[in-house]
Amino acid sequence: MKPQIMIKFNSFPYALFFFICMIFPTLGSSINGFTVESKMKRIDFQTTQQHFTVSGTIKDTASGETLLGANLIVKGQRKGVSTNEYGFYSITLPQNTYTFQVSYLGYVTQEIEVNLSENKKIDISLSVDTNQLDAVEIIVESNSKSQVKSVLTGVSTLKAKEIKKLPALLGEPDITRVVLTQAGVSTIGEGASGFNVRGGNIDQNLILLDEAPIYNSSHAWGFFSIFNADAIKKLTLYKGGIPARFGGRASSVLDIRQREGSDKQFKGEGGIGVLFSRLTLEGPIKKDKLSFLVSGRRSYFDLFFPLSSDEEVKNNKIFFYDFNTKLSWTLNDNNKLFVSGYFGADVMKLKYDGEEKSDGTKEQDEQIDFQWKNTTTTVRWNHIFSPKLFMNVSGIYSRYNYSLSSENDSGGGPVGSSGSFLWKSSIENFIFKPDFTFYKNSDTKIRFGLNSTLYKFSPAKVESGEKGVNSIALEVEKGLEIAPYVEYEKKWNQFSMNAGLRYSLFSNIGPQNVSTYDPNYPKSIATITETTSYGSGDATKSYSGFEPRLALSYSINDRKGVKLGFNRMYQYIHLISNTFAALPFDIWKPAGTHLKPLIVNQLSLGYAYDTENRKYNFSVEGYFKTFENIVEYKDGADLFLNENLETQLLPAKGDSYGIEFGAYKTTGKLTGHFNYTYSATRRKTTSSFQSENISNGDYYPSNFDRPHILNLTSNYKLNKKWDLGLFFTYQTGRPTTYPTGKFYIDGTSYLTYSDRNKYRNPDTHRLDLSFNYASHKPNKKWQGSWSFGVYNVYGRKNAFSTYSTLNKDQFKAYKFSVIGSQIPFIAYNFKF
Amino acid sequence: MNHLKNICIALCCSLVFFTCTEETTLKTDYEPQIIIYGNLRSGTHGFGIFVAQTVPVDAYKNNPVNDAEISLFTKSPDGDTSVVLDDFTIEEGYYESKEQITPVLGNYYWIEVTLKDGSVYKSTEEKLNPIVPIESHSFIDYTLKLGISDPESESNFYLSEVAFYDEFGTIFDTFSVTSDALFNGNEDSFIEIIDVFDYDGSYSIELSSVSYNTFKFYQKLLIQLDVNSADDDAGSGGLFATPPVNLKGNIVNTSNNKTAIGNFGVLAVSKYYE
Repeated sequence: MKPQIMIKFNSFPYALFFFICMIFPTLGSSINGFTVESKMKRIDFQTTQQHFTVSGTIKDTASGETLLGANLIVKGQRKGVSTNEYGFYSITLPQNTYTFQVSYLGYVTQEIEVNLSENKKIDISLSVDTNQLDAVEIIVESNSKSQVKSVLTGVSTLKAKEIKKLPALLGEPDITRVVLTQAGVSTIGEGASGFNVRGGNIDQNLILLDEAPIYNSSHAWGFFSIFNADAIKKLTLYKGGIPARFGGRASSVLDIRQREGSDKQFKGEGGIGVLFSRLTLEGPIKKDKLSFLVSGRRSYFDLFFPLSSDEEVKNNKIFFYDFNTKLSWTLNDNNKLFVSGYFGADVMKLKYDGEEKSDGTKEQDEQIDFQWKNTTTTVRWNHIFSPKLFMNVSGIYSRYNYSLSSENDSGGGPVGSSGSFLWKSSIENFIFKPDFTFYKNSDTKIRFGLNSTLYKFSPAKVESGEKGVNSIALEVEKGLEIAPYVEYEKKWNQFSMNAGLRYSLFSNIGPQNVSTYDPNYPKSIATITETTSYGSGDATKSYSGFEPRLALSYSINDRKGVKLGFNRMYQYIHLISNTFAALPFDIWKPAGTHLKPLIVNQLSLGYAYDTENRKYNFSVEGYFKTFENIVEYKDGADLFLNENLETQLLPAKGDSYGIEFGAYKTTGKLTGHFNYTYSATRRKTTSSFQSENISNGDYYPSNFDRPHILNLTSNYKLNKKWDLGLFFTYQTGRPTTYPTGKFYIDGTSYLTYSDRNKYRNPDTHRLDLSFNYASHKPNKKWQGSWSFGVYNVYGRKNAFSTYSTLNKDQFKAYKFSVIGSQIPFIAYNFKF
Repeated sequence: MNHLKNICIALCCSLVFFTCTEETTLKTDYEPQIIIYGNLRSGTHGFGIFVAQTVPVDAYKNNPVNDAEISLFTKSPDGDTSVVLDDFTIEEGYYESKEQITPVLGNYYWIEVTLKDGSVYKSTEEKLNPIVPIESHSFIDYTLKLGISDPESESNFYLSEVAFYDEFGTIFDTFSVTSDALFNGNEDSFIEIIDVFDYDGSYSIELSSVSYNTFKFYQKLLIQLDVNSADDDAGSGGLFATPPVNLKGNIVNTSNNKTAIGNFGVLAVSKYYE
């Protein structure tokens, strides 16, 4: 048998595929039996006569949702395959009769007998195992959290159900907080936006929602993540072995996939909590063909403000909301289309009614309106060229913007300071990503494609209505990143490999004015020697580099394995923020003449062990990372509306190393996850002018360096209706800078400080508890459950910072805790 | 109904009440450092420099350095360099020139301070800018608004000071620093000093055109004053605070290239008295 596909070169996907093969000329020859004959305009897929391919998708029987990472194992052989991000699988085997064992946690395992005498397309549906769901509270990728079989180092996978089972602040399931329970992940402190992975800054995490990058993943200044767990199917955190298809950020990838919505029946779910209410609706528009999902959340803050007798409270509005949506359309057996979107915003409208002054006049009324928003749209097209070749093409738009406006009666504020103004800032991404997977045989998979991103940064546009104040528009910066990549995944008997290569090219594009500085002095606006103007489309500066990725694993036996990984990552954009926690109005800046791309190298080594029945899974993983061209800030850096931002920045390097221990128990009444991380993260500024280096150019701990982090997550099934959730964390206090002296000028006292981060805040720890009550009524459509508990059970006042004052020349020190008490919560969740 | 209302409001605002600040103790080591601070002002004046060593945080007076050698240098736009001053009277770390000088517009000035241990501290060369006159001023709701005509040709930085007097002397003074980022070249530009004294008596206003280095120094100094004056709120140690920084300006120890605490500023001063 020799299936043939004729190419029409006006057919876009084939032309694209041909183009990719031209980029990787060696790929064509490396794929046995695969040739591109441009003259004949033909792609010829050959298989040897004894080998045939089984392919298809694995879905949930009831909802039609694809199951990502479901396993298909050839019974009696060491062969198998997992479904990809779209539920597709493909396995090629010699002609024979096989029994396939298809499994996914929480679903009834199916065995399918297949007489493989020709290529076959078999779509498989699995049914939910209600008994198993009742018995297992922490649900995992397979039937355990075993790390033995996976090739990549440092990968964690979580599902929405896991996220919802954890005790949460105010009872709201939060993805960022769940990510923080993983080994090697830390944060600068409670309430801070983002997270730090293995010593990386928060801007080094590529956070993808249906492949669209998210630039600010927090609501309420950092307290809550923007991701609605009801709309999420699965998330994967890559912190060690990052495949070559990912790039653009240097330390981790958090790949979040939204649910598709049932194509079988109309359903809904939601919840009413202390902080949010949420509702998700899904169903078929055309059964088995076209489905939709819409999901929304809104906070309650402002709804109760009008009840207040305080006029100032009454007039304020503070709220945030999310809206997720997805359309999934099965066009035919070989084509699927997905359109998904996210829109979320934080809104603060603060109104100030002017008071009467002593002279009888009245202060002016003023209104501050501050909003920040994320918007993403992803259009994806899955196309199956052949049972062995799968393609996804994504077109993505992502935008983060904020606006701040002040309005008053006549342009002068109530304290006579700033008048009315409107401040806007945004970052936009336009992304095109064709991605191909070639399933050569049951042991070999080749994935290749191209990432292309057009960035547009609008750092600030300020319009002022006040006389004497100029309107300001900082230069819009554009950048184009092109990155072809290839991954080669191969399994031998005990040895597996995922080798990848990514080549990224970034150009900072005009129009732009670039300052030149006197090389004999530190950069400041006083040392600008000339300014060069670049025209529209001119490349002001380009950078490029190869990003090799390698993951090797060796299974000592079925329950023991060792792994080795190496990554090099380039990051061409930087978050500019010198506050402890990032702010919604921090800006991003692309690499250019004065700002080099961040380069991170990571070497990791791991060992995984499962107990005999896989009841317990253990892993230990060490890593060493180096960071080149990190952005640091001069002492007292002024980032406010600064046209010459480079004058406030310092080049820096750093390193990070650590060892992570993990233990999982995923079956039985008691399930849980324990991890402990020992790590160190350092920074060192490398300005050629010693006088401006931080801590005299010596290494100092990063702001989020926490050598010891211990996390314990546990669920205990009390009975059929009740279960108990617990989370405990213990962490070394983060580094801080303390006063080391004092002096007086003109009678006023001032402090002097130690080198940066020479001291540490007190260690932190916290216990959260939740009780969940669910009464499953099999004959009723409406299923309700209650969740209640206490966040910070023993009211620990963990120090976010310690700082000192000299009020009236009296030296005093204070400890500031973001959360200084117990926080009870209650939530009602429902499904219908 | 009122109960429910209050509970709802309390729940919604609860995040605010979860934060907590409490007094604590710090175990820190005293690390002595040298401070050098002074400004050269336009017009005819004496010139003063303060030199001292820092003291522990629980001490209540300076540790003056009275045995330093200080020189003030100048350089004309043509590159001619000369010593302007090197003879000072010394009292408690304050070095006051024995004669008055009149700095020259467009000239560069710098200081060199040699300590007894041989270490030499040198400031960067600071230019005397043209004076930007105060064209108008008004007090509105505890804010002093100074009208100026900001020169368009280059970035300008301002140090503005106001002091109120009674018959016994100064009763309140304050200052601010401003860059012209928001009003560069605007003929109707204005500078504000907020939280000024509400007082009908005598006052003086000074608006100084300063260098970028001096602007940055006073900016850091103002941030620290704000932090230091905090009582027990979390404004200085909260989520969005920046790391505390030393008040280092433009004076460098030439032997190890470390920047000293303090600053040498050259101020082109416009004055108003009432």
